[in-house]
Amino acid sequence: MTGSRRIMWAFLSTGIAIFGLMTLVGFAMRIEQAQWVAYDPGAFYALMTLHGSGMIVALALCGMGGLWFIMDRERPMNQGLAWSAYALIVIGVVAVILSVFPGRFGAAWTFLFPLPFIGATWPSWATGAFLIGVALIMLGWTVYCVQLLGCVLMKYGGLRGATGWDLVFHHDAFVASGRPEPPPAAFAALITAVDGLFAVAGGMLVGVALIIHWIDPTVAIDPLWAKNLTYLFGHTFANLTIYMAIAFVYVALPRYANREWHTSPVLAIAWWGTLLFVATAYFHHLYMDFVQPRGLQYVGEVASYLAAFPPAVVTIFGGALLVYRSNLRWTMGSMFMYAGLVGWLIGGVGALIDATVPINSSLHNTLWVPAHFHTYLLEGVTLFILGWIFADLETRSGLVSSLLTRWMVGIGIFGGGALLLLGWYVAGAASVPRRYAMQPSPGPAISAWASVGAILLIFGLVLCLAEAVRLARARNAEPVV
Amino acid sequence: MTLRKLIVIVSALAALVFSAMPVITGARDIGVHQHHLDHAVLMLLGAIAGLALYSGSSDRESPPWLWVAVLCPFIAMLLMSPSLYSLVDQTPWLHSFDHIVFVVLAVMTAYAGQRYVRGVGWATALMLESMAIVAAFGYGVAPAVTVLSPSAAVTQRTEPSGDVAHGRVLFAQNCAVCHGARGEGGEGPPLKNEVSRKDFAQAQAWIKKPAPPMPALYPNPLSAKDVADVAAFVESLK
Amino acid sequence: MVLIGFLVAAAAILAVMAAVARTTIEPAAGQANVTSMGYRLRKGWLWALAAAAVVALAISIPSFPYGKPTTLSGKHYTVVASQYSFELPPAVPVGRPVVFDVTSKDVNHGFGIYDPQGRLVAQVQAMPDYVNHLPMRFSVKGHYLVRCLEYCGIAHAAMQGAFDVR
Repeated sequence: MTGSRRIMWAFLSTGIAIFGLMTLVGFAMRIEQAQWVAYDPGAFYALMTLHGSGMIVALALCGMGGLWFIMDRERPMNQGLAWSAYALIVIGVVAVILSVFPGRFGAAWTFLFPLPFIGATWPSWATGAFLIGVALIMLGWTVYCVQLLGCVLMKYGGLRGATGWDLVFHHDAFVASGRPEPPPAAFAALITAVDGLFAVAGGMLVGVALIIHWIDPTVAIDPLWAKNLTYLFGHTFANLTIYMAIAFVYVALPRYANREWHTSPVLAIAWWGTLLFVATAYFHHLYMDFVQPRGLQYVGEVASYLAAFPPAVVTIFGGALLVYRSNLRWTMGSMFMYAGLVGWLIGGVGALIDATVPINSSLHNTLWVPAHFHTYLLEGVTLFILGWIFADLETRSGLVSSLLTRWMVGIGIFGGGALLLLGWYVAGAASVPRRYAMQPSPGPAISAWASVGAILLIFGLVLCLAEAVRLARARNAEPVV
Repeated sequence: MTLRKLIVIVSALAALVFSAMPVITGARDIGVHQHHLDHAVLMLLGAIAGLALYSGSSDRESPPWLWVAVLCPFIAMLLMSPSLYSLVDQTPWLHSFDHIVFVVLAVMTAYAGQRYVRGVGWATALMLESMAIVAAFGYGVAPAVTVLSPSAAVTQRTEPSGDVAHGRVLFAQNCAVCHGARGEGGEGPPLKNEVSRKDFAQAQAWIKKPAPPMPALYPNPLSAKDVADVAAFVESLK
Repeated sequence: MVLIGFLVAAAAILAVMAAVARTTIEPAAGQANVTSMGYRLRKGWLWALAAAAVVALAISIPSFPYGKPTTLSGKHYTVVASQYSFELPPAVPVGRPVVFDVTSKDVNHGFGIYDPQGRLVAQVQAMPDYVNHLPMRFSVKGHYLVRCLEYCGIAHAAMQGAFDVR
């Protein structure tokens, strides 16, 4: 295994391990809401904190590893820095886990000031461990983003080259000059790096402020300011997990379809849009804070709408066009990637509905919110990652999974997933609040059939894991990726 | 002399003069908001100097410089702690030294970024500068008190009237398992300074009719008099 | 309504994407023909989406719930949230504009108003250090439940209040 491949698999396997653990945590929460088991609310909210922060980091780690590997083939990067970013994040995750087990920290991943400090049912050290853990994760993320930014700047000739400026505005001259055009995945890398640094600047600031407040409680913090920065970081970081993982589709789906996915001027412009709107859409988290400057509420709705255009018009449309009447081989890898595009789009529709202010008044902080983000994280990002893993395993083993296996995995992950997601959508539309250890009616009944979906989903994921292990053991071909 | 050198010298000199302001004017207690913004100006000058200082054209990574570029903004945010401000505010020379540290951190952030890979310095410098400006609007700064409309003022507080000593005994028997012996919290929320959240009447009403997961202990085993005593004890917790 | 709209859109997406996936049974010879057809289609798709976005903005922006306290008409009622209860007015009038001045004594809470049928009709955040003004006009009399809609600690799910509209 080459050094860069080892890095990718370290990120991927750690991410998948955390993902598996957090899936079980999520399941434990769901069956508590379904009233199949009973435990105290303090434990529920501690698990909720762990599930939220852990899942995002798990998906981010997978995306980071794969994207690093893809960009490393474009221009080799320093491996020590990648390992450092990995180590910082893993130490941060350990600190976060310790804050929950045994610390029982339960202020949710949002750590909305002043919740971590007032009415705490956990010891002060747990708050500190959580905040420091999150700061370490942010630091690791910063290192990663800076390196990714350096990579695209070096390879494509500064910001002008990396953004495809000349490709768009001096197209003929650019083609004639024979300079390398950034492949689609390089745009994902550039946007991840730039928006990632933008978001982490806000996250680091509020993180440091909270750590200082933890040390010296007399240091005041503006709650509205803290809320803005928390969501700037949290929303953007979560969003970027999609944009990192979409690079997998750019690279692997064309191989399955025996076609090419070129960088066109339209694709470059679409990613400029993503750069701008991913960074400004977070304002929709503060729609129900009426003291927020009014202009920002308009920015929130407009940016949320516009953020949907690049994926809908270019990436998902492009993916469908790539598959249309191609001689695509349907394997686990291609199935996951294509299904991920579908999940992303459907989750996006749910998000757009909620991003409309008057509708948000009756959906904000209801179960509609976990409904839509689980749609594009679980049936989008996770599938891109699984697709990428299977693409690698399939090419290296020369094997594909049987039709029966694919059907069973499909029923588990798509069928079970749909049941699980529908539970949230239906309950959200019925005004059941999110983040309730004990839900008002009709919450528990809906949670019960959603939990059945969750069992099916876990069955599909376990089958998937078993199949991955089978393929991984049968490595008989040279790596093609 | 090249333009680049001129920019370095002018911005460094300006930063130095600005850093010395506390010694020159002897200004004190300028407020956290203004103080953060002053530091943002210093860091802007430092970042400009740092960017202009680098004139190479690296085409390969210099990994150690990445650490400098990433850690300097982080350290700067820690040093911008408002509780440190109140310390240095009292000593002009320390304050000026503190300013010079900020300038150096900004120079390092920008220069190290450029040394790592040319162009990255702009990103790290922008990060630092935006954090410094945004800090002025909430880091150590908050709207002073809750400003309620006039109708809020009519809320009358009821003062405790119950047997605190008896309440202490009842609390130890019935409440301490979840709320801690001295109300420090545990399974249930801490009750220290509960008086700021509920007055005596509200505390009694809550104990009589609590929301799950807290169990209702009224009318059995606690009588109305017992509830008043426990409430009086809880209100006394600091 | 919202749920039905979403489900219809989701079903349409599933149908179209499944139909596209089925075309791999009969592959076309090259990529070029498909691409030029796709680019024409994409232009129409872009304009359709843009039109939908403009319509959605035009409809939604006039019904944004924000207003300055000085320009809001109606009697003001104070709502103070704290861990884990609400201080609420016992009753508010039906059919007339009212304004809830919402704040919090400790952490962030949410002030969510549920009508007698149990539907969430309006909400605003209850924040420490700030007062949010929520304008309302109730058209139905009855007992309205208030739930906390921002995670606020261990008894968040139990944090409730109620008032009457009459």
